[in-house]
Amino acid sequence: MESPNLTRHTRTGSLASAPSEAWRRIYRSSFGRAARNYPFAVVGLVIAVLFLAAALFPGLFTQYDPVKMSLTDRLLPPSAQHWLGTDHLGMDVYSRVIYGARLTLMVVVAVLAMATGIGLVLGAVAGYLGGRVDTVLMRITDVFLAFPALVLAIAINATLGRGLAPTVLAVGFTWWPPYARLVRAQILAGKNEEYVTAARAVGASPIRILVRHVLRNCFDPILVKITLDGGFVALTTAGLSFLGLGATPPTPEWGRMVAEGREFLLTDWWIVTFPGLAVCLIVVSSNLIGELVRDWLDPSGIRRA
Amino acid sequence: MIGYVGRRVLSAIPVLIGVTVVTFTLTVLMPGDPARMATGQFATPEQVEAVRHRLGLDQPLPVQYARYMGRLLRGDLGSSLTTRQDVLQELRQFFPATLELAIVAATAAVTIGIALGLLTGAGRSPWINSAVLLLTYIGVGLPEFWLGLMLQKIFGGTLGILPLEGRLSARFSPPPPVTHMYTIDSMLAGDWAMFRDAAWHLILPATTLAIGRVASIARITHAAMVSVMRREYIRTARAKGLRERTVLTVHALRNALIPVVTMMGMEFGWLLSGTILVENIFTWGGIGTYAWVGIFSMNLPVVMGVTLVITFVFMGLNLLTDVAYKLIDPRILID
Repeated sequence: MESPNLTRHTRTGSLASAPSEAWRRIYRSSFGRAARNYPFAVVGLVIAVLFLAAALFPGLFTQYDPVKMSLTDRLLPPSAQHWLGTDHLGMDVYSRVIYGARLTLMVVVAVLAMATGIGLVLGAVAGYLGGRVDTVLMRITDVFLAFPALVLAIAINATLGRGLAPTVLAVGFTWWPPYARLVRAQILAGKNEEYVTAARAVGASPIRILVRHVLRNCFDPILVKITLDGGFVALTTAGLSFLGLGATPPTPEWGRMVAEGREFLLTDWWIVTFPGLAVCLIVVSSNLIGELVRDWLDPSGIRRA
Repeated sequence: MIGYVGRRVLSAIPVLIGVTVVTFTLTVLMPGDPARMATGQFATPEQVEAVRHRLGLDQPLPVQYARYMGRLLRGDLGSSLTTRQDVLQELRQFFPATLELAIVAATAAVTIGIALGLLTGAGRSPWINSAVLLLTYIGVGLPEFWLGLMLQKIFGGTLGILPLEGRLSARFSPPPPVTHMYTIDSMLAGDWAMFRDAAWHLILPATTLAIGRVASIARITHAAMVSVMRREYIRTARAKGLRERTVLTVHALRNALIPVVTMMGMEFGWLLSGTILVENIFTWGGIGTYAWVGIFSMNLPVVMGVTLVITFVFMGLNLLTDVAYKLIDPRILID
């Protein structure tokens, strides 16, 4: 890394202003190299930034209230007043898509937190303790992996009832097994490193070794996986909401909106098209960014599928 | 090989038991008191207790689980809350429709996906490669329920060239049931007009189901091909003077297929779950539709029954792909 650039002299030998110098640094960094390998990923980043902005600051994007019904303005096609039209209850589709981003973000974060949490604990325990604990825990993981993903989520969600909280729990319980496997693999690999032996020789307790030394190996793969999974979690949640298990009306959730607009598909197609398009964009964006992050963190590509 | 299959089946049994434990736990967690629901609002506490005892609900959980397993082994999946029919019987009615759809979609997905992956992986034109890969990113991201609706709108609504829903047009009544799959049965009955109609109805739902899988399989195959084509044995094969076609099929493809086959199980899983969404949109009348109606009306015995059956099929498919994996690469010994 370059030493602190106190005199602002750059490699080009001239005094450069701070912003362009920052861009140059990014361009040359490992992140920039990854971005140059995957130019399409920049599209994904743009989408993700827009998504986050819409989720965190919906007021910036629209002034319409997403749940304000207006029976006089039902089923209006896209126009200057309503950019994406209105639905069967007169609610502005564009605002509902924008506010839906916030909902989706909350759900995705909650689900991934749950999945990573459970996966981390179970994977770490299995990997570090080994033996029968490992076998038992891996069997449990196998059981959960025996279910096709959506099916288990549907079963759990149906049992717990309708609503977003049951959906988060359902998808979270479906999503943790790959994380447990990932963590376990990383721990098994890291357990035999010399620094672990050294730490044990110095008298570090197992928990300290686990937390301070071994778990650090997990961050990179987990980060890649989280990025890739974000989109698919959104997709699954939208699917569950479409089936009626997730958000309840009039909450603006993308899957729910597609379901509500279904009967008007042939005449008032915009109610279905735009929320679904939003889901699609999120998944594509998360895939693209995931590839980017994977290349950024592991340029050697050894772990590429 | 037989030994391998046998061992694989044996190791699947504890997992199967675990699956039933999960579904049992879910039935236990269901809100509401089954005894009270069975007796109705106006029952006295004694009557409720009597029914609870008769249903075995006052027993400790392991005992209840044992009874549950006993029922499962006898094929008793409970009765639908709405129709009061046996869930297993209803599933058998609806199964062939889904089988027909799934087979068509899976065949299309596997063949087209692998072909696409092969073509791009063999590395002819970088432009086509990039275009196809970009399409796969989009394909993987398409929500099935949305894609189905969009296809319905475009091809059924606006263009009007493909049917909107169902398995047969209203003017046809189903063919004499042999396999209960309309395409096969109409062929067997010699009714080609009906066969064409049934096939026509299959196009949109199968496409919806298949597109995501095609994209995913193409991507995996492409990655596998790229990594294989760089290997030294390919260079040797070419140096030996073999035709490029032989190099590709005999040497490259077989090795590239290994990771593809590994992932095939997961793809089938997505395909199976996808039927629930797709059958809903096209009112297909298979297990997916049955499940959807059950979900919608919170008919939990139906939901659990469908869960068990689909999971069972999924496990079977995974077993098959493991065997296929072993056939392709005899070096691998799993556990």
